[in-house]
Amino acid sequence: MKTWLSSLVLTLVAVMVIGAYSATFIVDQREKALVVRFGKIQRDVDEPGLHFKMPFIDQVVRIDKRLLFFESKDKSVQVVDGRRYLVDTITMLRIADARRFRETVEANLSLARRRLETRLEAALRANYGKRTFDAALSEEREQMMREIGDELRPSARKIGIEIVDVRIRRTDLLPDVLQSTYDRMSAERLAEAEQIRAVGTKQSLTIKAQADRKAVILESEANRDGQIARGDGDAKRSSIFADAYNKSPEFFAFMRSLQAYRKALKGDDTTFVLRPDSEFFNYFGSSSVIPQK
Amino acid sequence: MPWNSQGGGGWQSGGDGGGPWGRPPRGGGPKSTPSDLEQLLKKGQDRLKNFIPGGNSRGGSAGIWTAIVGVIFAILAWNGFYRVQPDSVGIEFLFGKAEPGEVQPGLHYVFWPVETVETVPALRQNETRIGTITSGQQDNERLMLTSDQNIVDMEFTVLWRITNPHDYLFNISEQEKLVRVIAESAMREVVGRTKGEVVRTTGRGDVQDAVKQLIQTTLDNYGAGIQLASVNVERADPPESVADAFEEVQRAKQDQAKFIEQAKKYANHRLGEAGGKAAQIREQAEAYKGRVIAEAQGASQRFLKVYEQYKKAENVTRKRLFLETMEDVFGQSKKVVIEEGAGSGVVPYLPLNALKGGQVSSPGGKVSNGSASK
Repeated sequence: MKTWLSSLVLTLVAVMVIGAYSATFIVDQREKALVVRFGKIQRDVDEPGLHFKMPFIDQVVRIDKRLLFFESKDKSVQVVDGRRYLVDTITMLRIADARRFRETVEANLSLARRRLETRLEAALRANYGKRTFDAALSEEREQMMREIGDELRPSARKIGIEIVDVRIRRTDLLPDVLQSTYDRMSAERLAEAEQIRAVGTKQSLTIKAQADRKAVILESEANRDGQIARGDGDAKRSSIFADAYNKSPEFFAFMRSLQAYRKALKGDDTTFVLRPDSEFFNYFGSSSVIPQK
Repeated sequence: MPWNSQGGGGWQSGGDGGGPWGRPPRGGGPKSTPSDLEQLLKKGQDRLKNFIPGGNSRGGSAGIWTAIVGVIFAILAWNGFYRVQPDSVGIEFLFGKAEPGEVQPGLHYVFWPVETVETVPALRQNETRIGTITSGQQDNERLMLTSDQNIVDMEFTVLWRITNPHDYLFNISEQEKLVRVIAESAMREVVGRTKGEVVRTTGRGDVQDAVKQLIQTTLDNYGAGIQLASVNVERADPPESVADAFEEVQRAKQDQAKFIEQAKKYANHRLGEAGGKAAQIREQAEAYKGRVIAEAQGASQRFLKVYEQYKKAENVTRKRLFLETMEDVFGQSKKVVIEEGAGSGVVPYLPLNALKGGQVSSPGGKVSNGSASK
């Protein structure tokens, strides 16, 4: 009996626990909730905490209150001069109107995202299409992000979403443009390298030429000084000789002649053809051995 | 989470990491979530159900009750006690509603399942690194366009900490990824308005400051509860495919220095040589000068000495000098003496070549070639 009773109590407790569990729900700090009965929204719950609902009948749809974002990658855009780029964006949003969000896109974020992206691509194209690339890349970037966000906002509001902002992350060149950019960068650097080398060569040649010039001048000056010195020497020599020989020009001529003969007619390979009446043979004949008076 | 059951997956159709819902945030994110709580409750129910039939088989019912109460207490204690790591703080929830204030590191207790707790690594410095080569990310995360349409290969880190755990948990989703995308977007924006050369060289500090400012402003707008410590540019290089051309510039600079050094070497050598040669030329000239003067002095002195004696006996000396000279000259050479008139009428045969050597001289200036004279 007692065991029967106790199992009845246990069953009752279990049923109560399950019922209580089904009649309550917890809304997290990060969430809002919609109470849905047979597909119809009964009420929305903004406050986190413990809430009650009709057990087994009401369903709870939870919706994130936090800042959410999605990335849209590699959207192709064209700027004013016709060049094409790939753009990455990040869309920051919050779900502002949970009811509408549930009604329009079934509280389904991927569906909402698809709707928004169509609009986003159009806004991107329009915004890039009226700007030059330089402007889009730098000075008007912030303004563009603002404008794109503004264009997205009305259609987002229709599905209960508040666009916080749209950020442009990357603006990339298409692969073939990228390659030609690399080529240009390389060419620029190689030109710079050549320029540097040319300056080096120029300076090198200048230094060498200057050295050559200085060397030639040094040697020439030395030669000049040398010639002057030699000239001094020669002049001095002349004057010394002149001083000496002027004492008797006749004797000098005689002496110098003798010296020249000695020098010029040296050696045994000279053959003289002489007449016996030359001065050397003065006494060679017999007649004049005894001096004549 | 609830969304998944209706929506069929998050919106990450691109196959990118987990969405903000469907998975508890990773890394230092919350440790338990309402979904865990529900699962635990269900598990507890299952356990209870399994236990009851065992109780039916007439054991001591008091023992059963004791066991049930014991198990319940064990579960409560097991789930109630929690530890907050030294680098974290905890936030307690009462039925999913966050309670103000933070729980400091240490061992704590909550009245589970009414209360739950999540911990946030608020005392830790987080590092988000963007553009790492080894990160396996596609290349274009690293490559950034500069204002002059050049490309730099960037790697940078963002150091940040959570200053407001409540904001961090409740205002933003996918926190670490958010920091990453905001940081990349900010860096690209700043690089996009700076010249490539500046980004690579002198402008790094300015770029870092501007990016830090931009990220901080953006995060503050979102109420992220995050404070940036610093943004550090680890690498700002030319892209790999043009790296060689950039190195070529460095090589060219080396070459330039080399050319100049070589030229200086040449110049030093050349000037040294020229200096030496110049000195040599000068010395040789001086030597010549000295020599000719000395020679001249010697010769003139000799002449004067001879002249002095000559003056004393002019004729005799003159004769002697002449004869001595002739003696020397004739003594060493061949002579042919032809008597005047000899062989007159005939042409004397004079085989000069046979007389060895072709040198024929006639002193005295008179032609002594045979009898042709006179």
